[in-house]
Amino acid sequence: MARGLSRKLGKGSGGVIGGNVALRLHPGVLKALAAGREVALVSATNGKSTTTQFLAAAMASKGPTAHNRGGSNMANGLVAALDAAREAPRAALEVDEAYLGPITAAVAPRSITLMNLSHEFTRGVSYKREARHWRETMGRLDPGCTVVANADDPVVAWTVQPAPNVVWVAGGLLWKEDALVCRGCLRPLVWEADDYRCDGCGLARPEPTWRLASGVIHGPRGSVATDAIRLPGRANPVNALFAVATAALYGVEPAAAMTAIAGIRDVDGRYRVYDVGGRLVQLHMVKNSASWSESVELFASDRQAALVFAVDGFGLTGRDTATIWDAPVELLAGRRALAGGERRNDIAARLEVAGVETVIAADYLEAIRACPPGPVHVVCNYSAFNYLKRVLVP
Amino acid sequence: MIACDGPLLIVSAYPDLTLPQADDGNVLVLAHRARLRGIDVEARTAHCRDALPPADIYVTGGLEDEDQGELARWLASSAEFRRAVEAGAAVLGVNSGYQVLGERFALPDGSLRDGLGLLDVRTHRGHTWIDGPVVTVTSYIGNTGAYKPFDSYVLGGNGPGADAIPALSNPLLAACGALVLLSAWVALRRRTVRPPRRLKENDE
Repeated sequence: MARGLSRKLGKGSGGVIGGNVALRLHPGVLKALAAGREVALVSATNGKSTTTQFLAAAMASKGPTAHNRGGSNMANGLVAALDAAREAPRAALEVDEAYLGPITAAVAPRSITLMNLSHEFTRGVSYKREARHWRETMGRLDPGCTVVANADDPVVAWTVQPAPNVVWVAGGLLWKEDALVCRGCLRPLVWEADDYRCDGCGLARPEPTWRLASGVIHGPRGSVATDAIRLPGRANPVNALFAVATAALYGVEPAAAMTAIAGIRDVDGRYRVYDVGGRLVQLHMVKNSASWSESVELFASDRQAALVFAVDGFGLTGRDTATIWDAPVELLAGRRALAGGERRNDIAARLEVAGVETVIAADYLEAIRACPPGPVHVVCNYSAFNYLKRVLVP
Repeated sequence: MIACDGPLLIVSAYPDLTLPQADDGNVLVLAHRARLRGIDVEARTAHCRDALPPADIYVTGGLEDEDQGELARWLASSAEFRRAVEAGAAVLGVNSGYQVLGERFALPDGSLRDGLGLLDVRTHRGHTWIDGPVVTVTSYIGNTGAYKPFDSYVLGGNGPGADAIPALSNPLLAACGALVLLSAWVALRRRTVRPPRRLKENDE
């Protein structure tokens, strides 16, 4: 009922409000709803929504699977997702990094997929504390739980050390700057290309059983190409790698998992193409140094598209535009861009330093309309993304 | 324009021992504005396996966090840093970088550590988060458990109604041109002005 009311009031899809009411009435509701089901949890700073959607699609090839689509990834969102699919014997759930411990305790997952952990300024908790939280959680896992973890991220590798069963995945490292110091003993890690070790505590890159090479996923159960993925960018084959490796724990063959993943065209509005008078607009939501870098690299590789920066001035990601200074915006030197939203001057300052010629527009819709027909990449912070997702028509 | 032999050396010191808060943006802004004025610039980053190279301007610090003790240790172990500072190099210490330059500072768990003693300053952890525009060049106040941003420059704000002005977490120098000039002036002074004659006890 609360869910319907929330929808009618236009306060979102209603998932979280319904979950809030249920948790208030019965704090053990998450445990009760998860009981008897095989639950796959996914957590990361970057890529958890997409990977969970990939995983849910792959697991659904074996039967109904609950999924917190829409990214409500705290207890209330998980309650809503499990409640909405009561008959599903399986669930693929993304979990906020800081809530991994209590949610793991409540749902007793069959698997936990941990992809990366890096700094996100707008969060109240630093990734260094989250790393300790993950490590404590790993020390309390049931022996039947398997962790699918990124061998290439030393922060993740350190947190996973106490886990009983680990499947290591060579998931790459989006943002190396947060992984230069060993979280265990605060010594500088020794990096040689993508290999790392700590001379203090002996932490070293584990040998992965799943990896991605030249666009092909290789695992113990064979190989599968990733070219059928419809979402752009180099992060999505990596997201698929984690989803395929995790789905294998639930009896899904890599080829079947990839077929399901190839059917996904957008993740809650991300990557969807909107037609604005002949301009093919694609939205990219950025929130931290890692996602800014990812987006900037994608734009650098796509020289035909126009670039629009849409950054609002409210909300946490609007107050803080600092992370754009960490992104390699210099890759776009010599290009032109448009900036709209209250933070357009902050963005323009960064673009100027990087050698990007910037036109400041009154607002970001005007910026989009000022682009010539053809592909347009729009970088949005969270609130601009949610606004544009509502007003643009696919 | 200020005459200058050789490029202006800017070093970002140990950003891997802070929480990145875009503080390398300070280096980018300094370098950009110096180049606009025709000053040749060489910018480098030292990570915590590297010895700190000589510089005209060191930029260090970021959000206060648990690695701050290591930041102090690495800076203190660099003879080059102390030598350069005593010879008049500028240091832009932001948040944790400012704190470790002082005599004592507190880690997030409340324990006290010795700083480099370059500044006559002791920092401690406060209990409130300061809202609104901030005028003094000072430090960061963490609330128990949660990290809260409180930078320290003139044109910033985090409080209610502060949305129209640059966020405090932007790089200091992107928001405050006066500090760019101050940093550059401190750094270049020793290249262009003879150091003041040191007074000896029996100097007449």
